[in-house]
Amino acid sequence: MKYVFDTSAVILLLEICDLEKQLRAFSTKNFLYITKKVKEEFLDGCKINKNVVNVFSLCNSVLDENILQYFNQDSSSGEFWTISYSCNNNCVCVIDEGFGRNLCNFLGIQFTGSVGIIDEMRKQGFLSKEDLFGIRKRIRNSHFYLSKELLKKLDSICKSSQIT
Amino acid sequence: MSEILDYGLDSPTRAFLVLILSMEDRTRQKAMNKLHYQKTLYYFEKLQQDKEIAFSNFKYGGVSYELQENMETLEESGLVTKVGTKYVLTQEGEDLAKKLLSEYNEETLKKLKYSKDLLNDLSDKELLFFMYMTFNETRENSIEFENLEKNKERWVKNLFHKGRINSATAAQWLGMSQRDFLDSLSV
Repeated sequence: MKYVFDTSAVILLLEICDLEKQLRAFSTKNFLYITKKVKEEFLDGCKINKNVVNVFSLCNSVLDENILQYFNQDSSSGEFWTISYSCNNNCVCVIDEGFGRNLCNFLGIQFTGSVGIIDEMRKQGFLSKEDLFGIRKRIRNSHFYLSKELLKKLDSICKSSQIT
Repeated sequence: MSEILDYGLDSPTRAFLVLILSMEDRTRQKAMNKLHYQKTLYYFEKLQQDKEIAFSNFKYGGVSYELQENMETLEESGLVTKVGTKYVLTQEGEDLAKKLLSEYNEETLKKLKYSKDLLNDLSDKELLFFMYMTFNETRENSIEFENLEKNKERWVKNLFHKGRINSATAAQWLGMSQRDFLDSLSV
């Protein structure tokens, strides 16, 4: 599967959840991309070793006028470039913010979020039960924002992994 | 087609009013008050990059008297009725809206629906703040912007939580970094 990640998803997975190793393993079976703008946004204020971002391959997103109009003609956000790339390259968009998810839904672009990726990594055997509980603890202890709905989804993934 | 002409719905302004009232917003509500239909069609025009409807910047930002007059005409002709402060289509209006759909291309209708989904369930203050911030020129003669700005953190967070703006826009509107904005949400 091909995925293109938005900035907050990259921050959550790398900085908050410390999943570099697991993502590297996941990338052997899947294509993990970020745009140049997302890389810049991640590195701006990055609190960990900046090289970890290389777990994602850099992709070349082309300005899409059709998408730009939904961003009020402003191409300065990483989210715009992520959605543009996803739309034009048949790639799943990994996005946690409501605006982007609503837009993907409206434009018929396939999307998931950080929690969806965590679940996919679990299903493909790249995350153990212990990893999942560690992830949940790290997210809950962090100041990083994740909607209640996504936190609930994470809880249910942890619960289902306990049963299996 | 003759019914469309009879009611003057060959005019885009009038037709867009009927169409926007025929669509459900994300809370499945069709009714719209004056502020919401004005702002939704302003946003739609920007999205279309069209100038079909004339807008001017008044006390509450971008407003169109052309829209207001056409809404009154639709009310007089029985296609629209007012329930409290909100406008809704009558059955006759709904029937005509169905016929009108075939007169417009899918892209236009999609943008109309997107505009209504984005704005119609916002409170008046959230809506005004969103419009003033998105289209700076509409602040020109505003009597509300200054007051709204005093509570900008509240409006920005509401709009972000409702998925109407992204964190990059929110941070820009609050004059902080994107990371600081995201951190501020969980405190």
